[in-house]
Amino acid sequence: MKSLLYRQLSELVGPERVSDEEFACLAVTVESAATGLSFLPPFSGKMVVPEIVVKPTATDQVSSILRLANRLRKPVVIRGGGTGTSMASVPTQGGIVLDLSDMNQVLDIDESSMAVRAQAGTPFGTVRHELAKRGYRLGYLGPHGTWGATLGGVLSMNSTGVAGSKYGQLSEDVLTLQVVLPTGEVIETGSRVNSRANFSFRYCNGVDITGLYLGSCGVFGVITEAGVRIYVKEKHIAHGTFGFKDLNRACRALHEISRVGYVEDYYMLRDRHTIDLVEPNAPKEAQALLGVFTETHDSRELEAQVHNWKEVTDNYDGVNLDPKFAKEWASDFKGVIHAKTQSQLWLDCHIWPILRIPEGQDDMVRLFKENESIMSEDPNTGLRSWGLVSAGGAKHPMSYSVSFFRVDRSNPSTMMKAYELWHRMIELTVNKGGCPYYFGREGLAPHLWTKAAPSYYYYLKTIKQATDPRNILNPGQLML
Amino acid sequence: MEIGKYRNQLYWCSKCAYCRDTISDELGYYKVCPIYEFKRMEHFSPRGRATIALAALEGYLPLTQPLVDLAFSCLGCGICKAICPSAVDEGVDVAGIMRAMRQDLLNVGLKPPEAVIELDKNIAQTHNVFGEDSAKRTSWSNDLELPDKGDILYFAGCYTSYRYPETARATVKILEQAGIHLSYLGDEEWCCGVPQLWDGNSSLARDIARRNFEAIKKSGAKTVVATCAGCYHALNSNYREIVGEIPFEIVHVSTLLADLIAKDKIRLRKPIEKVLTYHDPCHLGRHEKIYDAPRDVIKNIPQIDYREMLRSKNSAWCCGGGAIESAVFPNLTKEISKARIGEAKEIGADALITSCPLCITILNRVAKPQKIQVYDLPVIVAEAMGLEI
Repeated sequence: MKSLLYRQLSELVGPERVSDEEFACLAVTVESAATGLSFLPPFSGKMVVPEIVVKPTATDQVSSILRLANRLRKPVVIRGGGTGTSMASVPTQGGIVLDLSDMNQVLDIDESSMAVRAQAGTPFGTVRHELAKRGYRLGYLGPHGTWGATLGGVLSMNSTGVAGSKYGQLSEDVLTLQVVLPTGEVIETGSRVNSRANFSFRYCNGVDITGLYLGSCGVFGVITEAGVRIYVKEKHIAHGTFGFKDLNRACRALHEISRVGYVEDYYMLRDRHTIDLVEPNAPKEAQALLGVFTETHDSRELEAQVHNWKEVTDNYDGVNLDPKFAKEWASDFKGVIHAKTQSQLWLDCHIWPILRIPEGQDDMVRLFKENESIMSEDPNTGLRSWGLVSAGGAKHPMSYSVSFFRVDRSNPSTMMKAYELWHRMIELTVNKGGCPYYFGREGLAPHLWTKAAPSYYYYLKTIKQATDPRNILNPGQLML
Repeated sequence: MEIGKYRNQLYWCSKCAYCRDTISDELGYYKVCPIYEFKRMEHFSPRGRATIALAALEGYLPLTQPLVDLAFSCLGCGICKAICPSAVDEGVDVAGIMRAMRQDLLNVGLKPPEAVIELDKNIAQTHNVFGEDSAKRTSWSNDLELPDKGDILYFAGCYTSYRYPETARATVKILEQAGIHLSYLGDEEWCCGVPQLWDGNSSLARDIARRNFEAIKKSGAKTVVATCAGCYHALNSNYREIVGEIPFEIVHVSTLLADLIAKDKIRLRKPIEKVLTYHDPCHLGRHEKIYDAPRDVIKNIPQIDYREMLRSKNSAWCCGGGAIESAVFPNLTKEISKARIGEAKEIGADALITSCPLCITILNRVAKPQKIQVYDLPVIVAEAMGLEI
């Protein structure tokens, strides 16, 4: 006999879209990176297997599910593509997992306002494919290497990603949102506040309430649709790889070429150990390796940009290398980054100015070297798996910078040590002024709140209490 | 546990979800897992299955009866491994993991699906998947007088022998034109064992493999020609895992035909004015990496208009019948095969060629109403050669 909750949810979405099997509920508790296998130590004590998973296809179903959850006081955890790295979709109190990945329709492409409207569970690959058919593209192309990530998930995390150096994070291109509030009411933001208007503009009709939901880990509502800016797809692409004698020169060169808009995205290996780990065939004298790419509408413009790369990098004693590295890592159209770096990694992703990238690097290297004994060997090079990279996930002059390390994920005691090291790494980063773009629950929140004014935290708490009086939606995220 | 063999892969799975329903022009994939596409719950996705397998392996999830249906719902098509960007073992082999999980579930005493029990009974008693009289197996060859010993042996398989004798006859006659005289095991040929390799009955699979291996060895064959993709994969890859080194060469008929055409040993002269496309059987394509040979053969037929379906080669969708899915979940098979035939319809194909009699069986059920003919490769080659079969 199925539970009352199962029967009620089945009535709302159909029984084929609900499961309370233990294995089905366990399958929706994982995400990417070292934090991803939530049923294993050190996270197994923090994750609670949900009672049930439900997969709506429409906004009114989401609304009904939240009303039901309120009546039953059941916690609801929102899940998009399940590819995050912050444990934002990991249930901590059981309850209902609201899997939005069947809200996956591109609803409208409006060429007059150059915008696309899609359901929140639409993967980036799908959006890009639909836009490409008509000669368009998103600015931000998706989180690094993750075509399975969804629009709603990325917006809820303020995720960085490919092409961010030129176009910024996806959040910067958001025009309108449709949001189901924790108590089930549906609102539209931006130009859509006027029910007769299109999804064409964000900053109008008074308060920019859109921003409340971006990066909020779903604590204030469920994003169910988004209107996002689109661009004409470029025809020409070029890649370049450059080696530098030191990180300072690499950053100064990058800053010069990106500030004039000649870099769509880049990927920078910030020290020799990382180069040896990722691109061991790079010339031995290179202490920083930079891969860049750009796309243009005009071939002459492309030529001019590539010429500029060479001129600027020459000025900083850069060496022009085989563009293979840039093709593979900087544009990442084939998912290399996810495959080679995201699996099992402990990460401290943060936003940081390009020219300040070298600051604090020595402290991080020291921390890693002191703890190399717990790190696993890289299967290809035999080196200890740790590194320092920066990429163009955020709009110039900011970079998306990451320190990472890997341990044997199957060893619980090593994982406990890694967990402690991870917190030390994040504390080091946040303490020097790095800003985590995603937040989640486990890694970044405690470090950030100790540096924020208490009134800021209490303000968020007040909003949460007012909009979600029973605290059912993504409880614990942002430590709310 | 059998899934323990995949421990490293399970830990390396980065949960990127490429294997689920990725659409990527850059990667050339347009939705990935057919089962996930129709079932739509995470646990039916390759990523979900990998999570469940790891949880079971590490003792966080008990092996229970409901898991049996889940494990048996995988097509074994390998498309998830083909797209998987994992840094180890060329991708996470979820098909292999589900195959191992089937064994683990049965090893702890859980009951297999009824269709599996029936299939195993058929093969144990009659040595063919249909449970039909074993004497009928050889009827396609009655007038051909094939010797039981010789250098090049033909392994026909159950589906071809019982359901598609024209494929077997076409193969013999085409190769005769090239001066190749095939030998044939007759009723000494048993089912190749591929269903048992996938249904968790590994002991029966091993017995069959050893039995067929000895029979082939006794025939003195230096080369074995298979027309069925499943038989070819079993003989060429699975048998090696079971019996070790194999002292004869295994060749799929598509490779042999492509070679004979290239050497001008056979000529395809009769025009066929049709729009043709090719469906990659999973066992031949992703599992054995034979993509070009059948296409090379088809493109030699005069006056055809060859068109590729949107999903082809390593991103081709399974017909829907892989890994005994058609026996266990026939409705799901039908939905998947409809989608596959829909792709052929989309490009205006008059006929779909393939190299697997199971694919033909599955696809034919939905192709006829769409007025799309489904051919086995040797049959259309024989037609283009003007041979009476």
